[in-house]
Amino acid sequence: MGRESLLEVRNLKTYFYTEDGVIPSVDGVSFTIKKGETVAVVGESGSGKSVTSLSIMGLLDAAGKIESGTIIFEGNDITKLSKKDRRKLRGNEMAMIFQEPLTSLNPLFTVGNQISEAIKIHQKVDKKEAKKRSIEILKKVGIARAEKVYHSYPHLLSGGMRQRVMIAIALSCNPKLLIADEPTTALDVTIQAQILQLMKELIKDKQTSILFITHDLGVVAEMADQVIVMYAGQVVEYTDVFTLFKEAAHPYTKSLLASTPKIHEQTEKLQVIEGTVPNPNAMPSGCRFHTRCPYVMEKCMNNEPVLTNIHTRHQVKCWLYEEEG
Amino acid sequence: MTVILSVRGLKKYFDVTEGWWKKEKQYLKAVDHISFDVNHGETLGIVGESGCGKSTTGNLIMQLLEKTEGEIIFQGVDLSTLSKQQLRKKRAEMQMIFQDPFSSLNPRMKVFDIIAEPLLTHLNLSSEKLKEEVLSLMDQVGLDRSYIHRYPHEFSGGQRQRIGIARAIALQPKLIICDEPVSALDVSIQSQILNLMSKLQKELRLTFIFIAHGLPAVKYISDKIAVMYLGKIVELTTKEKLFSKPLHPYTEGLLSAVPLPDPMLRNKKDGVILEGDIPSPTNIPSGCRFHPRCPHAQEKCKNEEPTFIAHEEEHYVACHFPLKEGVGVLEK
Ligand SMILES: Nc1ncnc2c1ncn2[C@@H]1O[C@H](COP(=O)(O)OP(=O)(O)OP(=O)(O)O)[C@@H](O)[C@H]1O
Ligand code: SF4
Ligand SMILES: [Mg+2]
Repeated sequence: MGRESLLEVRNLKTYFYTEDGVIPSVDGVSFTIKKGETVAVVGESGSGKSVTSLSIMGLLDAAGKIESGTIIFEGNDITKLSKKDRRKLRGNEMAMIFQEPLTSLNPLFTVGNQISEAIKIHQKVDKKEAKKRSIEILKKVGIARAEKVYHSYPHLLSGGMRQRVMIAIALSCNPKLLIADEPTTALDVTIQAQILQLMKELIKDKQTSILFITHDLGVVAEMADQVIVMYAGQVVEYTDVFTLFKEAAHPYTKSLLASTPKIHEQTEKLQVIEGTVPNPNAMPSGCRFHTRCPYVMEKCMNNEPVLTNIHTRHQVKCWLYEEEG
Repeated sequence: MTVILSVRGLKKYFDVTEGWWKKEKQYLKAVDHISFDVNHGETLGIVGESGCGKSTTGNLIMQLLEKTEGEIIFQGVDLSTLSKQQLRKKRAEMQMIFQDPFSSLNPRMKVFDIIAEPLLTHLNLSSEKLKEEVLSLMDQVGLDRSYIHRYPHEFSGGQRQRIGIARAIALQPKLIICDEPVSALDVSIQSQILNLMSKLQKELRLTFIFIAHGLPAVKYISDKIAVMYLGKIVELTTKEKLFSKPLHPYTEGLLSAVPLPDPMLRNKKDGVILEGDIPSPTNIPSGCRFHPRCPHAQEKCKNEEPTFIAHEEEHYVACHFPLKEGVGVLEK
């Protein structure tokens, strides 16, 4: 446990300024990632998972703004850094992989070109050495015919291969933090299994920390040490993966677990969470989950609960637990 | 139990020859000789990874695509023997629900018109009766009656799927082909739609063919499951048998690839991780088309194509060496 922390996000608020008004996509999110640890962020679409990761990477588009809060990376608040320093950080200490690698690979350059470019910049080596290292790293991410793939263009590769290439590029700078935003969602399940396996091996080697964003509780169970459950821009539960699956406390987490298909269990019926995720420009008052919560009480409708420790390292944002805190 | 749909030796080859000067035609074998039966009131799940021919199979049954070869026998009638008009009538008894409810609904039509459309084209109802019928369909699928004059874009994905379902059941069909109806939806909404579909199936005695990428999505709704790989059905059996004792190495790999939502099982799964990529359907491997990825492949597999046969009662498989101790996932 007592590992050093790498990243601390404190009360992060990221808002988007749109024609329809201000959208509080991330509204007071806090968590810590320790060295070598994998933290999963899970939640449904629009819950603020990706905006959280883009805020950390410094990749928000013009409409998005970090309203308040701090992001401490290795002791420094990186929200205060200049654009240039942010970019430097991104290339060296932090890297990101996305759901659809094709959009983040340049279609006009060969795979080899893109990896060796990254290696040349970060490892300050010449062209020949960069090529050698690129091929090594392609082999390391499980690409059998690395020489051939080195000379291929991204669109000629399968989805799984492209994701391997993206991982190779991301790892080429030996980042301390890897942010993976639904990296296997677009892949077939047998290919997903390969990529998850690969990620596990790579982090074991290097002690890389990972922020793993996903909507799939199966992937969470497979990969995470700690889990953050987000609902409507907020963290509603935060604990270690074993506690989460054994003793989920927040009604939303419980419902989410109960409505997740489990192929290894005999159960014949799925439970249902009624209603839909609230519209971000019309957030419910009080607890944002109160409109769908089976345990809703009077005070949930108007008063917002705070994220409270119900046990050591188990935080829940729900009035059911407030007294016990 | 009566068979409502029989598919026999169905094939769909797409001509993908590039350039008219090429003498030799190149075919993409999207569906390559598949056969199965569906019983009345049951759900057949069809699963497999992208491009294995699931949607093509659905579209062929719906007559949205012309088959290359084979028979589709619906309620005892070979559909290819029907005249255009007879076919139109039969087709009203088969409906389809799609993955993306947004693109399958006309954005300029209001909910009322969307649901009323099939009723208008096939039945002769007074406008009062029509409205009554639409409202009752909205009740059945859990759409608030007050939404009747809204447009599709005003709805969430789950609600749009409800509109699609209302439209599909409007003519009281016998068979509904559901092509990944919940894949685009959030988990909590998926379970709502799946439960709604089960409810309607019981109430209306519907038969479903339920197409999905993965096994979790078909588990709750299916009675039988067909696993497809590169245009072929490799295994077909009851849900229980498939999940507890798969016979085909691909099914075993597919089962073990599903990340289980329980961290205690993390490193305990004994299944294998399948290696390699799915080959292109324009360049199908010789012999058993799964052999390049199969952990049990032997010499014979490279040269001889296995036939799809009943290995046990109700358990069909296409493999030269069906697994003796296939690793399932169901807890005993
Ligand atoms: N009109 C067409 N012309 C040429 N090839 C086609 C056509 N329609 C489908 N195919 C090809 O046929 C194969 C099977 O496609 P199909 O859409 O049935 O797969 P699927 O199993 O539904 O895949 P997915 O999981 O991606 O939906 C694919 O290789 C696809 O590219
Ligand atoms: S026929 Fe051979 S290659 Fe094909 S699945 Fe069976 S054992 Fe594997
Ligand atoms: Mg499809």
